[in-house]
Amino acid sequence: MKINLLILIGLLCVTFFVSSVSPSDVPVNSQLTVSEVYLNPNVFFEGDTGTVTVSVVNNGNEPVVGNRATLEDNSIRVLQSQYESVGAIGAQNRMNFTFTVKADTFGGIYYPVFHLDFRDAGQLRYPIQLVVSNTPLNVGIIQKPDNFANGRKEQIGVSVGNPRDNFVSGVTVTPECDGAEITPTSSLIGILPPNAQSVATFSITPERSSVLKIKVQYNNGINIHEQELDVPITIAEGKKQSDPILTNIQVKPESDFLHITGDVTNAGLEDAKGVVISVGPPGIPVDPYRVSVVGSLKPDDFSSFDVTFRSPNTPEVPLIVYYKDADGNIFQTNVTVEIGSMFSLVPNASSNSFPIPLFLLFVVIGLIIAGAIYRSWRIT
Amino acid sequence: MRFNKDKVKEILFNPSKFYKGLVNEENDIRSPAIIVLIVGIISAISAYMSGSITGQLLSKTSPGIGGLLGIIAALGAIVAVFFFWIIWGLVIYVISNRISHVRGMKLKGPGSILHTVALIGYGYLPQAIGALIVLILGVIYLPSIKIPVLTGTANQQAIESATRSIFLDPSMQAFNLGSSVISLLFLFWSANIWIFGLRHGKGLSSKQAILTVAVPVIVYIIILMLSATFAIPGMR
Repeated sequence: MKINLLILIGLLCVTFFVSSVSPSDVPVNSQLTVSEVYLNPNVFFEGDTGTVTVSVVNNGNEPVVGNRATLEDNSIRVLQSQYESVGAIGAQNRMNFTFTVKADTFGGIYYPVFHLDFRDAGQLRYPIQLVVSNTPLNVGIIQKPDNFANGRKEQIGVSVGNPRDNFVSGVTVTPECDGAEITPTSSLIGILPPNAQSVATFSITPERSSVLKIKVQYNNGINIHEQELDVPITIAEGKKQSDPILTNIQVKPESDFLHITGDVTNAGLEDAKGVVISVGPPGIPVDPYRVSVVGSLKPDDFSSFDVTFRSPNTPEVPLIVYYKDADGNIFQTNVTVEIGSMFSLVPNASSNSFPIPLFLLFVVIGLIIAGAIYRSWRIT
Repeated sequence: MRFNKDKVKEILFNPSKFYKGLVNEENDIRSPAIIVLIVGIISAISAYMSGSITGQLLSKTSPGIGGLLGIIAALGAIVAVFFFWIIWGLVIYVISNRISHVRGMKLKGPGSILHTVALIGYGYLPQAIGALIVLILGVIYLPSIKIPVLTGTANQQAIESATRSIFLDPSMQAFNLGSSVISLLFLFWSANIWIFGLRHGKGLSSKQAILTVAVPVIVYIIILMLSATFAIPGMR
């Protein structure tokens, strides 16, 4: 009987003890923890605007009522600074607090502090690491010809590397040049992960020497950034470009036109395709060889050509060599041929026309002479 | 014979009267020679202009040669006119002697070679007018001819081609055509005068005189046309 009584007393004591330690007596700041912090962008540029999202979890069995949530820092400006009335965070529930911040400060590592005040006194305080870095993207030229030629299409490769610790998105490369035709007009690379590189290739056909501006635009969070790279486009003779040379030029007279014969040799290192030779103004090409179609000439290859033309009284005429490269770009070279040292033939289109005034003169003189002869015989 | 304006009119429009009056006068070679000289001088001016064209062609290869070529051409023209006068005279003398059955040749006196040459010389008077008209045509047409200039590397082929190009020039073709036709027309006039000269000077009938003159004139025209055909490439 005594034993039972003792057990009963013991149980009552335990019950009392347990009941004296109620849930409301557990500190609320120990129930709530900051589970995750999201930064967008992860790494800010100076002046960037972004968001800081703090995720708070109630690990307890009782809801917790929050009063006010703030993010504070002396260097990082918080644009949307506080949550005035947080409300209850249910047991085992999570609540996100998002703050808009602007990194109006120099590069470095900052620790803005997240505060969450509770209604029943106490608070949660959590410092957040925020990195501000001005490291730009790495923009460079990885492919470019030694020389640009007027009207010749060339490939140019632009590499964009990301040395930052965060992704950048919407990376777009846009080349701009007044003196060249460029395709495509822009290239979208998209998201560029940290320490990654991507290449955009453009075809450029220059018309004159100028400067190619390559603009790289990208987003860091919601912030748009732009970088520029200037590439000089200098028109010059290509080192490997095909180079038709005319030699052994001879001018021979035909019945009423001139006949030029000679050899054309490709002194370049690339094929000259579709080689056509003709006489330019003031020469007037005539049959049978208005133009001489030579065709393709490999490097160091040569072919003979014939052109026939008439020329007004001019001491020289230009021989024009048209040729193409592998991309179909048309080039031309002019060689002046001196014909004044030999002769020039005028077009005789008008030579067959009978001069009317002369004819009238003949008639008048003929009548006078006929009259004189007639008179001499009549008066005999 | 005193040569005046009336005599000139007689030669041109009434050659019969002129030669009738000449029968009683002493054979005078000086007056016809003056007429031929006038023809020669006018032709020489035209020849000088044509020669200068060749000079312009060679102005780079031989500077200053233009004037020299012009003078040579002018002198050549005078010599040629006198030469042809003598040839005409000789040919007509021979033909007229054959027709009138006169045997043997004599240099002086009535019916002699010089007498015939003198008769022919008076007939050159219309050709002086013709030469003057040709000169005017030369002044009009020759300056507008486009002349290629030969330089140091010119060869025979080039010179030939340059000459061809000058002949193909419309102005040169007009000048050549004009001078040829006008020379021919005035040759007919001269031939008419020569007929009267032979009638009265050598006592030939009209028929004989016409035949004597017609034969060499026709031959001359044939030669002239052939030479023109071969000289001007455009007419071939």
